[in-house]
Amino acid sequence: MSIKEIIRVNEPRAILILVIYIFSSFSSTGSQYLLKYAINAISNQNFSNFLFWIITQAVTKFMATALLAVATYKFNQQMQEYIHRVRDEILRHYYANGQDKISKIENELSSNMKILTTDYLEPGSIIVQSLLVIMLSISALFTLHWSLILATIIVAIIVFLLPKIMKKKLSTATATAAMQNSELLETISNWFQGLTELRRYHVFSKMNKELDRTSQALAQANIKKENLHGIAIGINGIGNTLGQIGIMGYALVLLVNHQIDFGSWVIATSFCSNIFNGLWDIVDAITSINSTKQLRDLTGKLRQFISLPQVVPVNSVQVKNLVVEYQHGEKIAYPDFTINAGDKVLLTGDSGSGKSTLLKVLLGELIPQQGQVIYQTDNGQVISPQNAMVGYIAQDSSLFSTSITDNITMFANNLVEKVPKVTEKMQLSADLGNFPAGLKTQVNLDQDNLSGGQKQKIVLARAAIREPQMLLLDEATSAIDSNATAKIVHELLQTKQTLLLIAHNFSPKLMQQFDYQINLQAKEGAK
Amino acid sequence: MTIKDFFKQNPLRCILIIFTAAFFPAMHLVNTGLLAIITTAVKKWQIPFAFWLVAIMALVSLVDYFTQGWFNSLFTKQAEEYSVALRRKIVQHYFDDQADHQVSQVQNRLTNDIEQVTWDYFASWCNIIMDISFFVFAFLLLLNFHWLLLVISIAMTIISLILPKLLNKQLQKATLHISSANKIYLDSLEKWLSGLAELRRYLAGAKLFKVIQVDSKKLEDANVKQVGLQQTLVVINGLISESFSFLLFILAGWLIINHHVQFGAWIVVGDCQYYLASSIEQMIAAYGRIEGSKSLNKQIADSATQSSVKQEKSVGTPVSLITENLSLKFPNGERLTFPDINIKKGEKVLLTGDSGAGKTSLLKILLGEITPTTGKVIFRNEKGQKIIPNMSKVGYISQAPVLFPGSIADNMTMFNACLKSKLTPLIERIQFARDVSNFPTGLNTRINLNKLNISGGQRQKIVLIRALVHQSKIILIDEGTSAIDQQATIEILREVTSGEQTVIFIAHSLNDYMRQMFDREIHLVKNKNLG
Repeated sequence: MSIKEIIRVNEPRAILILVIYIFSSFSSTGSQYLLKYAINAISNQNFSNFLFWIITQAVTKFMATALLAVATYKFNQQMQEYIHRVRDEILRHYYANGQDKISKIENELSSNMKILTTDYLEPGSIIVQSLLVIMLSISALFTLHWSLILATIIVAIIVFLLPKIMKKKLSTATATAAMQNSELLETISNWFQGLTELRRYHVFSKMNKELDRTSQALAQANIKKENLHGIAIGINGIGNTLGQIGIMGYALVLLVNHQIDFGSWVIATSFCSNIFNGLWDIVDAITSINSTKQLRDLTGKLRQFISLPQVVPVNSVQVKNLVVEYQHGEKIAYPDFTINAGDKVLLTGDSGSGKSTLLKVLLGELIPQQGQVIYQTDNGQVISPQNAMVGYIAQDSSLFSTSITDNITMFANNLVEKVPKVTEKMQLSADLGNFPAGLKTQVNLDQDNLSGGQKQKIVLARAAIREPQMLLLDEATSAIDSNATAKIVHELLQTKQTLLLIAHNFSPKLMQQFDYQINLQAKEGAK
Repeated sequence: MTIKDFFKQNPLRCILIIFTAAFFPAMHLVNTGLLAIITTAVKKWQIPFAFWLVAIMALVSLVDYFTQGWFNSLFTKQAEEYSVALRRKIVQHYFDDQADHQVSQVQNRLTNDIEQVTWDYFASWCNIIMDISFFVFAFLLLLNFHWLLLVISIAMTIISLILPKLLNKQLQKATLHISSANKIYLDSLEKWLSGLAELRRYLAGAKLFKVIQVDSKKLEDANVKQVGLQQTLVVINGLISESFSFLLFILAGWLIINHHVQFGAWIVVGDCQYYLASSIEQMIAAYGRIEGSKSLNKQIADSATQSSVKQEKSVGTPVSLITENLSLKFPNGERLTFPDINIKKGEKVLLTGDSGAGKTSLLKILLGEITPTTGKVIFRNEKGQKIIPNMSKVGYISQAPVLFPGSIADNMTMFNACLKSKLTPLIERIQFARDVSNFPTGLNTRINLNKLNISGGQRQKIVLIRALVHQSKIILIDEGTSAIDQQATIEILREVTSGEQTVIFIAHSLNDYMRQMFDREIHLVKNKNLG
């Protein structure tokens, strides 16, 4: 995140914003300056002259307000467009990475962007505005009398240094108060967790004494802190008094020596306060900007472009010495096996024997602790799981809130013409007949307008339409009735695809149609 | 928490607080008035007089700031002392009311809640005093110059307060619009990202980016729109307040030129109008905070009253007990019914049962820590008379015995110094002497609850000695669940089963060795009736 980037979002607008800021600051300092002429006109008893200047002053001041409003609006537009880009880049990063939790992504795209807007971008604009006002106020003071600038600088240094006197003591006192507070919390915890025991033995006075002691210690620490704070208010008051009344007194000296006129004397202090306030605003803005450092670093990292891994179609796979260890320590060791091109394989085994886990390893989503998974393309090239193009249907594949066609083609328009045929094969046609909009029916994730079986058929069609050379299915027909399941499986077995399928409710007749089975057994005491 | 109690905490100081709260705004306005006089003086070229006034003004300004600081200290002192008193009352209430109190809830009540109400309630009342003072002095200062200036200022103040209300509704709508756009954005992120793996598999990223872009654009547009409305409001406000201050300045100019007021009026009108408007605005805000803190304030007040529930007058040391029709209903609808049991003096009873059959619950009912839904427990003394038991004479060794910050001896005597002399023989008997000698300062070793310097077995022994030194005739033991703690429990068991006390022991895992130490076993069965 840098100023350059924000400007680049829309360069003409950025220039316009800066120009309006300049005009607005000019008008607001100018209106303060014009008061001088109005005051001089009154002191000369010239009412019409006074009226002229006071009208000019009012118009200038209103212009400053209106211009600032326009600039703020335009700046916001720029900011939001910039945020839009950042969001898009971050989403692309998350997409390519594919490992992050949804809540984390949401947090980054929503609340973190909001924090950056209010604590980084907006303070940035305040710095620009304050610098402009300070510069113009210095010029205004210069036209009144050069020495006023010197006086302002001296007072500014004093005003900034005064708080340092109490700073150390105050921060120690604040730390002490925080410590006493946690001590009180701890005492409460220590005694209240045994409340019933204390009641049984009627031990109120001891508990009360202990709590009272820490409670009073906290009170004393707070009182001490606020006493110091009170003194700090007084000391800082010395600085403020110097800033307001000291400068006025000094300007009075200039007036007496005829170096400035009466009107200049009246307005001089207002330019000094402009400078003081501007400096404070800049300090606050910088503090706020610094507080977002970590967040900006994180966002910077997330905006970096990363590309998806290249994938190559494969049609056979070999598994050797595979062992997967779960986080809680359970281990699964798999038998070695090879699935050749065009094999139709059924993967069976008790629950907990690691069927789904095996598919995750085959897909490269899970890195095994031991062993290898070796894919081969049809011309014998060896491919790692991360780079293998393997079709996969999960137990709970996701649908998206768009049309059924889009859910099948996954937004690839060149596949649309194949949709009717594939829906026929996947036994979805009869279901579609019940929807008035047919394939154009919108999937509604909130109202859940599709049955579990229909959803699975859509996901099957989604995989089938791409005709992958290798397809893995994990209980992909669990919600589909046995009749339709048989037909779908039959269709899949007709293809040239290499097929590995997990299922537990197939009829023996259906199971026989596969080339062979791989049976996994849950091992006892594998810890 | 009431203003009255706050006042009573230290009436003299409270009067001083009110005085300082009203005093420093007055000083502010005195300085504004002084500035007017100085300006007039300079205008008339009374230079020495003007310099004197500048010096006085600086002095007043310093007094003003130091009074603010003083007010700060005074208020904190009063508030903190009041908080201490309040905490004392709440602790007393929590001890007396015989109810369960979550530690985190007690912590919150005694620290955050009290602090919040101090600021939202008492500090807001002080703000109101300051604002009244600002208003009154600004009013008087303007009136002192010319009544017309006052009338125009008041009119301006009223309009500046009413005006924002006009656009308020639309602004609220814009804010709601942002929040709903944000919700839609998050919802669409949730829906699309939950299928992220699928989208990646089919390389459908382009669609994802497009859909999310549309929703993020809506959110961004809603933000821009809100800023647009806000800025429109700023411009309208600016236009009206400019016109009014223009009017005010023209009026002031006219009055000055026609010698109705002194030149200095020019300087004060703007400031006074500002004080009038901001004091009213602040007063409304402070009132809002006071109203907002009312319910919390009431909660605190309730927990600081004397508890009406008092511990029943306890008479006599129980030695035997019977239960009648005990049952317990849980908030989730589950219901436990217990068989009637009759435990005679000196009996050693083993309590077993499935997990969830209510063994620990039964023990807690016997201890009076849980009130049963139906039925009652009757305790009898040596002579067989029904008594209200003195619970300090019923020892309870729980799975996780509670220790308190104090010495080991304090934890045995429960801070009753008279019992200290009786500890030594008991410590010998329970075989705790070796443990004690391992501690650097023996029985006076302070127990550190953060870094537990006491093992689970030692804890149980301490609590057992606690029961014995209080001459408990009934001892209830809930066996520790971890293997290490079990070993310690067995040692303790051997000790208590050979004594004269009545013992009820819950066994979670049973072995024959334990079983033979007891006279009989009560087995609880989990009953399946729900509702």
